[in-house]
Amino acid sequence: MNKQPLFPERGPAFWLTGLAAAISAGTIGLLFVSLVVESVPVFKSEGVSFLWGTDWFAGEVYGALPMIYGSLMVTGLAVVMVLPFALGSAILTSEFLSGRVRLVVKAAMELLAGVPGILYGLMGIALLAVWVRDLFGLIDGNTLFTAGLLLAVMILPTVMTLAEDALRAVPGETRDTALSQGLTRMETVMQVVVPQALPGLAGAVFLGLGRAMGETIAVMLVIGGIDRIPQPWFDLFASGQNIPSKIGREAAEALGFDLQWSALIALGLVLFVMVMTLTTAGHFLLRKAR
Amino acid sequence: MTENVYAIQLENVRLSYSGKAVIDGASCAIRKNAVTAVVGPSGSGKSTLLRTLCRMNDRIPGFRAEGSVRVLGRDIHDPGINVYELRKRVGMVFQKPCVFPKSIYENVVFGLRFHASPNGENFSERAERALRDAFLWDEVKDRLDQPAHILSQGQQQRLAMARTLAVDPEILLMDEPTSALDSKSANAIEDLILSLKEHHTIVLVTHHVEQAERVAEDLICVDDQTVCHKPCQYP
Amino acid sequence: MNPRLWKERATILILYGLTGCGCLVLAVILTTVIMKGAPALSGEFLFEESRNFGSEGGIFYQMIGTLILMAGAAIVCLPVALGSVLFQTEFLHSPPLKKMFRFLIYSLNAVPTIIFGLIGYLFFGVLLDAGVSWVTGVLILAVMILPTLHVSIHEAVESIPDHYREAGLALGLSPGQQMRAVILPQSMYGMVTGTLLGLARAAGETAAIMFTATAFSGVQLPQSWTEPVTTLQTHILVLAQEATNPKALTHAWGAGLVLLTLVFILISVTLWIRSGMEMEAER
Repeated sequence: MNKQPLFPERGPAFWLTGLAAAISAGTIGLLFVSLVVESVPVFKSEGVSFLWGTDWFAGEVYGALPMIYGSLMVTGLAVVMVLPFALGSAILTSEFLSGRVRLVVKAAMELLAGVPGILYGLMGIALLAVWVRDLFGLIDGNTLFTAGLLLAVMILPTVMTLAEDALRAVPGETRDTALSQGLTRMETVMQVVVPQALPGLAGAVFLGLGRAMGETIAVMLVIGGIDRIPQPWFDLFASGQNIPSKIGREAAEALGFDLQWSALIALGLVLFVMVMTLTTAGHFLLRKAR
Repeated sequence: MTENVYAIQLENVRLSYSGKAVIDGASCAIRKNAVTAVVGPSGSGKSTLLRTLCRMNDRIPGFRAEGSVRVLGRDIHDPGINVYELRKRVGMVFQKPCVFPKSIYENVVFGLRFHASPNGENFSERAERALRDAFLWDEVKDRLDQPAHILSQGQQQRLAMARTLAVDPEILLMDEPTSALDSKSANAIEDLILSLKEHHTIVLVTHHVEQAERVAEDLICVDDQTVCHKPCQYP
Repeated sequence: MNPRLWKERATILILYGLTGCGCLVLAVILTTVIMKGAPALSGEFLFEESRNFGSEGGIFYQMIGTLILMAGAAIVCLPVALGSVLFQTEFLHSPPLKKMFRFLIYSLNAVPTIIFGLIGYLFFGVLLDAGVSWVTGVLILAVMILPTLHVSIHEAVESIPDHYREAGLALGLSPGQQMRAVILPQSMYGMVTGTLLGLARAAGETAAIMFTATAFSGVQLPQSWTEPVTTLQTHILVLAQEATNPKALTHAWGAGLVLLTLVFILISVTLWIRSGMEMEAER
């Protein structure tokens, strides 16, 4: 007799907020659906070779492998370079610095995480690329390495703050217990705190990876923009291309409905799947850590 | 007939959270214009029972009420019932005094603003009446526009009562209204309860048997999922 | 000396070294923008339009364009975000539906911004027939910052103490009245901080608007719905890519400094409000 309907109250407030909720859910749904639908033509015409093909000539053939390679390479590079700095400063901040210094550091990191990508891009093209060129004696400083380095700097604040949160989430009693057993502070951190915070730390890194992989503008300016896998494939000092950069460069000329547009959206779909995998894993790990 | 005598009638009521019964097979009746105390060990479901009477448990996921709960002559789980009108007529005061971060005056007319009929009723008059009824007027009449936080806990609880009284309820539900207060404030609340019963039906959950004896005419014991009228085996 | 202690000190030293390097890099970034940007700043730079391919004049219309896009996005986004949060917290009682809604918002947060540009153009530019215009840009950015506002407001609404809600309910307030009297006033700071963060995000975004909402030269204030604007972000982008004139590059840094100042002000105010709230909560 006391069965409640799904939505018991239906005043104007219900309809107004319901409309807003429908708009947001509908927009998000449409976004995902059209990402899939719009990329169908290129998969129809190219088949799976869209994913494996190494050549991309607008109007003729669309192969995304060099871009997928570039995205993975640049992101991997960024994470390798950022890890020691982000984790080191997270451990120092959370375990060894006083509360007030910690707050200042956190605030600074949040500010830095908001620095617009275009500024990193400007710095990359005007300074970093030149430094890389001169330092390694290259003809062109716009390389996969440059892009990876720039991304590492960009995601440092994000990874550091999240990692620091993960370390702080380890309860103080754990530290006290370890210290009371005669461990030094550093031993406590390394043997007890870090292992316990591991899922959270991994989550932080995954979220940072997701951010790095989706970043467009800064990478676009320093990656070189050449759609090929370097020979040999691990030559980081060659120019390359990643997915966001490719979309950013060609979107303006492809605006419309032909196959090139569909190919770009398909690239977007591939990128979205990769980023989504990383961030979902990241959120999952962070939630597990809590 | 009986509805002139009783404000609330429960018949074979079962209250459960996610299938786990808190109260099962409860039947009792509460007289109009009297103070009824609900006593029982902690965790026995006194509060759940009380909150059911104005359907405050609706928003708790998994809560279910079965059987007939008649308040002021109507089954409150009837689909045609207006739950907001019900809660206006059946006011509730909670254990912890809750005031909003607004002025004292704004707190008193908080609910009134939404229930007053549009034909220009005088808010300040009704606020004064509510504060007088809650024995708080003399203490706050000169500082109605000050933030309500500055009041003591006991005053805050009386302010919460004034806020409830301002919307003119017929039944007042009180969930251990004195347990968060010192004994002096608690006495003030007890006096208040006695003065209010002339015009209101009061249901009071308490864990002090002495308090129940001081203020209540009727006693309801809740224990081991059952509900019984006095005499009570409660130690 | 005790080898354990020695090891301890060495590790801490390494940590300081790593942290120092990280801080140094970030400090270098800030000082570079300031040092390179400051020479460009002048009254002329801030209040005149850009001339001669960005190497002369100023960035007045670029600033206006950035402001139009970010403010427009926030104005469009706020009611939708607020409404969907309230629907989710006040009306949606089924846990799986709630979970699904949260998942949608989270996955939107994971979408790379360039994809907003692609799909956004398809819907707003082509289907709404707005073309490359400021309206397209505003709508794209509004979708992009939806998760930022949503998460912030949702947190604020969820953290309203239960006794406030119950006090309102017990007085017989309907959900609409409950929202007006209890929920909106109590979650105001979440709306404010969320909107500020959203503004900062929109101001810093380039990829989603560069081919959907902006043009480089010959643009002043938009006179109709379908005209593009010019923005600080895309101005920097073009100058950085194509400038051969060192004067133009200086202007790029100047525009960068202005943009950075704008973003930092927005984030600082957010942090300031939030720390104030935390202190209040501790009391």
